[in-house]
Amino acid sequence: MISILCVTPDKAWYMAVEGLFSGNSVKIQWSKSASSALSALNDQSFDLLITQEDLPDMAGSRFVESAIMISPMINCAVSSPLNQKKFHQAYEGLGVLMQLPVMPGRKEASDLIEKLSHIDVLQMGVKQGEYK
Amino acid sequence: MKNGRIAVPSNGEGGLGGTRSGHFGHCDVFTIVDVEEGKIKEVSTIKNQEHVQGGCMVPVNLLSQNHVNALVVGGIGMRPLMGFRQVGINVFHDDQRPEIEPVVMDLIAGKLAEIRNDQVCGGGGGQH
Repeated sequence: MISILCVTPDKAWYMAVEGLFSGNSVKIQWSKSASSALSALNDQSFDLLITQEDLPDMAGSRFVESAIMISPMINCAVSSPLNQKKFHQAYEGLGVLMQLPVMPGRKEASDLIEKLSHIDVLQMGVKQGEYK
Repeated sequence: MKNGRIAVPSNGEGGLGGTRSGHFGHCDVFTIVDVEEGKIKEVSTIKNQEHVQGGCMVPVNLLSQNHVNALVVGGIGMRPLMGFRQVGINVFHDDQRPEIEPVVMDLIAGKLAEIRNDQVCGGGGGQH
């Protein structure tokens, strides 16, 4: 079961994202703001953070930085209209798993789960002592 | 450092006479130096694994699994730095010298400073 925290003030966007993951082994929770998401991260453990870049109370990069200060192990995907170069400049060092388009579709959801699974495989290799 | 295990991201085969990798997540191996009573007891290497975008916690767990206490980097992103701190690995900073041995000796002698939050860098989403 993958647990996702989805951060957006837009209920329709949240519903759309939730729909993308239906059928997968996914539990998804909604936060309407950066501050409520940071509270949730303090209280609970999530595998993946999906956030829109423009949040009402914090810029996306600032929010991701705050989130990894609380929970560095969480993986992040950011829905952003920035081009690749500007996105890289805004989020460098924050270890973002994937940039999502403004309105992600089934393919992006599938790619995201695949990337997350690949990292899980690498982590499993570490745990099983394959890299000694 | 009196006792402990130091890791240095390294190029090629690593080892005390080798050179440091400027890209923490992309290094070929980690040179591992075991220190006892302030002296080098043993030098070994740990192979790094495949690096993927967003996978900067993999080496954090790798070094934690291998009981590393201290890491010396030339640069590192905020996320892996937070990860290392969470698992109890102290991260030290030297962005001047490419050789492994002098930074290891300085760390043992207590002459290297821990990296500060305002010294973190990026590149490829936390690959450093």
